[in-house]
Amino acid sequence: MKSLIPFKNRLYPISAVLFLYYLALAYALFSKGVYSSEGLFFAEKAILFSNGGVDRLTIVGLTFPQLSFFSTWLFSIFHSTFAPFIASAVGTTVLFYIIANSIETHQYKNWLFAGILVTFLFHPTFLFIAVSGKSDYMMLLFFYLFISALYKYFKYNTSYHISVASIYFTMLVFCNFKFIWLALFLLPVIFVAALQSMQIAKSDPWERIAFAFNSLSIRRKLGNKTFAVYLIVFALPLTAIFAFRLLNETYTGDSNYFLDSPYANYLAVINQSENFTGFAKDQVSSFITETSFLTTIKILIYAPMILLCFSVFKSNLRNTFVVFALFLFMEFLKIKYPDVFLQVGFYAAFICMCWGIILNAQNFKNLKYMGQLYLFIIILQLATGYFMMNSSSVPEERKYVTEFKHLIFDQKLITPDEDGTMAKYINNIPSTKTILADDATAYRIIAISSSCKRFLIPAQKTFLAALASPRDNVNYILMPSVNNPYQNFSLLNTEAFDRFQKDGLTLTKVQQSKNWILYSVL
Amino acid sequence: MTDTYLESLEDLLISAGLLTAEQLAHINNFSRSNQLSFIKIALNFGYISRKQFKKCLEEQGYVFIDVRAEQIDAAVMSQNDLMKVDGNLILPLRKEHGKLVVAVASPYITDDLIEIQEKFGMELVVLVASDLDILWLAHKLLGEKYVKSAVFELLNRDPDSSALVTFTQKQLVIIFSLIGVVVVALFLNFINTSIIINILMSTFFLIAIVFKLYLALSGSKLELYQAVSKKELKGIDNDDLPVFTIQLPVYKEDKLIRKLIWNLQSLDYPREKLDIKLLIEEDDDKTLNAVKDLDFPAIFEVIVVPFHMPKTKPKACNYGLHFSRGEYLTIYDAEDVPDTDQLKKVVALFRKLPQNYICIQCALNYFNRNENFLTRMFTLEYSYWFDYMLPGLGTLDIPIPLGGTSNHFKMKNLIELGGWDPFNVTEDADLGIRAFAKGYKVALVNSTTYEEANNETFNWIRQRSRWIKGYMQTYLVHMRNPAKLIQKIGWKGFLGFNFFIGATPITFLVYPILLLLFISYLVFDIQNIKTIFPDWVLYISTFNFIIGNILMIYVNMIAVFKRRYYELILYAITNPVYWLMHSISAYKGLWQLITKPFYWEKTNHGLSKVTTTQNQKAE
Repeated sequence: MKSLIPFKNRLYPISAVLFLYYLALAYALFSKGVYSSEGLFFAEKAILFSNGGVDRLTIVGLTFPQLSFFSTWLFSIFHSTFAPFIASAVGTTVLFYIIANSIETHQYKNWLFAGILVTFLFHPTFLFIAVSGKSDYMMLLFFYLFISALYKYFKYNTSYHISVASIYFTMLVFCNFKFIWLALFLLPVIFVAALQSMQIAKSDPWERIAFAFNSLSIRRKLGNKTFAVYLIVFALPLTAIFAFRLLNETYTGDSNYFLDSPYANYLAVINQSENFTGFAKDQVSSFITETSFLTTIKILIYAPMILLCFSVFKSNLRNTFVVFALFLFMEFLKIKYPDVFLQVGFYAAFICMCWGIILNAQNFKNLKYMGQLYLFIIILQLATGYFMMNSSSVPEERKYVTEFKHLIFDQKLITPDEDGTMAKYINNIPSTKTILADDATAYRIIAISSSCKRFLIPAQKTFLAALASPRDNVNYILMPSVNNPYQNFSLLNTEAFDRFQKDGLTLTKVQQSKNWILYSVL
Repeated sequence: MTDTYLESLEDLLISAGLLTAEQLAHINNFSRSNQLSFIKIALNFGYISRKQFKKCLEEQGYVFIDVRAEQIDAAVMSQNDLMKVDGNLILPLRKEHGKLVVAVASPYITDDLIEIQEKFGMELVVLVASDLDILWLAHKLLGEKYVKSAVFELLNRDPDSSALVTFTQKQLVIIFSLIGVVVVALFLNFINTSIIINILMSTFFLIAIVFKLYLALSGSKLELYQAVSKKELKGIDNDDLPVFTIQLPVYKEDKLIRKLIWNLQSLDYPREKLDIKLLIEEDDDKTLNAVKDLDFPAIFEVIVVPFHMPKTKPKACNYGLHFSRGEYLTIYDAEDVPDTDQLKKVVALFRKLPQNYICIQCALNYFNRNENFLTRMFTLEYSYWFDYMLPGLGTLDIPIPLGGTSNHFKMKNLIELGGWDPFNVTEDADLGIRAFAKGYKVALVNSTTYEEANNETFNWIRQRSRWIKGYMQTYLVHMRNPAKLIQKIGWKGFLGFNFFIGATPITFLVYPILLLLFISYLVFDIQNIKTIFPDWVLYISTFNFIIGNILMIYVNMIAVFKRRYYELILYAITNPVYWLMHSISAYKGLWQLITKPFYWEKTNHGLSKVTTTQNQKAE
């Protein structure tokens, strides 16, 4: 039955309701003290920027991922600590809207829409992304837009789609730097696309290649076209990264500052602690061990919709190559960063890609019971998604699944963030007092306490003086405890503590939590 | 009597093998329907060459005189009508011994000659002369009324739209006040004022380029859109086609005349429905002689533009308007190679579009793109300009600055607009804005005219300085009353106009300053700069400058796609160098805007060694 209301008009209220749903969930978890490190990192940067006392340009210009930080910063006008959570709820809703809107003219739009809606409502990964304040929503958004534009370029061979794809790719890299490596795997895909777009009277791909290489004019044209597309797609992201590195180098003396500094990128610490193999003491047995070569299987289990996509793409070589390129990219990430767990956002990208594939598939209609099959796979994906997240190697992902279950079944079981108690205590300290802290690790406390006024951190000019002589400059020192998984990444570590004592500084514990000790300087 | 003589001319031409009976019939039909004399048609519509005709008459014992050296009687001349002379090629010169001395292109008696005899009431002494010399003399002596109209028509009708006054009093007050404020601010607080200027300049630079990227992307969406399809083109009936005027303003283009004829001959449009006017300046004997010396038939009429300042192309075009017969009109440069089906496409599109579309702009590109660095860069620039920017402006409903040639007008609307502004050196861009302000629209058609890219640096700078000066002129003219402009073209059009026409010269002027700052700071690490500009200022300006350049290079890269000029893509990287050349031209243009605003920097054509055929072979 055809609806009397236009598709687009239906989409607005549905998106609005979805946003409220995400926001309500995010707030429910936030109010119970469930936070993500990335969300708190962005919140702390936004607070630092608003409250001043630091070089604002470093924060605005070098905090990475840049785009995700900007969106959090935008929402910090509502609530400084909750801002990243609003941003992720809004961002995930926008992602839903863009995907749902792009199926408007598809013959199976009702089936597809149902699948998209079910996924965004119930898939654990999408819920996690929407309510955790993490930046994965933006990565998925630009990834989807990039893949869609790339497929459209293959279909229509227009400069608009290829240049838009390039812009989205640049945005994607500024959302998650690891995607820069995807460029490597797209090189052969672009070559195949260029070859297919050549007017050669051969249908077999190998015959086409042979013909192209043996004809001087076609070989020249193929070479020129391939090179031109390489430049169009990759010149922008590569030069943007180059320029960004140059600015990092000029401004901080380190071109990799945005990747390696814990003050610019929360992953600098997390990837060497929580997300690092062998670091976590409470390793759970993963659904499938995260090892190179098994990643592909893990992806297929996580996103079985890919199998469906392969069947609709069976005759389209270049489109199939894109999917292979992404698998290779994931395998490559496991080889390049063998000890760092892949976050669930990377896997979710495959689900988004599947919608991109279906939208651009030409022989979709040939499959019988397509809609029913698709919906069945969507529901299957909810289950596999849950199992994967529940046994994820990334502690934060497991934590959210657990707390989510608690939120639904028994809210009393929710464990508030341990840093909350320390932040609460600090909030009761008079604002005229100063606390020496290193926000490389203490950003969570600063973000939860919603103010940085009491803190003296490394970005401030007097920090070094305070570190050398705390008695003259600060009233308190916030130090990570021995249980704190990040203690080795802080300037205020045990060595500093020993030095303070050696210098005759009298430090009195005024508050202690599992991860933090607040000393009063006498 | 007339018939006997006419038959003689016909017999002469047929017996000399210069015309066939079929051609003769065509000429007679054409003559009857257009009120043009037999000889005018024969010499100007591709039937016989002037050289052949002269030789033929000389064999009959006729002697060609130099009519330009003949004595002229002002009283006789005042009784002549230029339009008539232009049509029948008969020019009464003086009275001598009770007879009227008349210069004619054909010595055979015609109705026109009898009419003149009756008008003056005396016997005629006929002097045979070259039709071109007759035209030269006629236009020189009788063309004053028309040339005055060509120069002052717009000024009289709509003085606010004329660029005769470069800076209005109000504009001068604003400009000097602004300079004064900046100077005072620099005295009072040098560092903070410098910081503000720096940030404003670099941010403006970035915004202007981001706007260009946005336009290019908007335009690139239309890449697959065919304004006129092949099917529509096939459905056109030649009998239904209107008369199409082609104006060819030339100045010292003697080397290009042959090529011009070849290019015009390849146009797929009925010859008798083409009204082609070669507009030659009075002092341009080189081109006139080149036309005289052609050993094959010409397919255009020559119009000699009498001397009058300013000596600009728009003045010549306005003059040509008085003699044009077409329902539609277009302008080509001498070296232009339009797509053969261009005129038909334009007619088809005009018929499809609503009435308020009065102009159709074709894309311009270059046939000698691979000649050297300059031609390659020029090709990149034109590709993104005509294939992406202008369609982008059209999509966003922002006034389109028309390109120099291949803009096709509805004649009656063009006249209603007052033609081109002869005081504006980018009269085409100005006309686009004026048309938009009157509620008219410009459309783009999927047809290209290939031109000769400037391949010589100084010639390029001359041409570009004129273009940039023209943009400055156009900007100043239309910004005399910003409120009125907003009322006419709306906020979107106003912002688009400012960012497209206004921002273009400013970005070129600002560019070398930013570059200098960038090099001093980043490359040479000059510490003194840091004492004036704090790090955050340098950070922002460096960011704007780098991103601006990257985006501009990127826009150039996109340009190769639609045309499949993939081999040019790497040249886009050298865009910053190309921009420096723009900056040189911009400063030259600015200087000329102040010192000689109407001076037309002539671009030399015909420097390329590449022909269209060679280029096609290379492809």
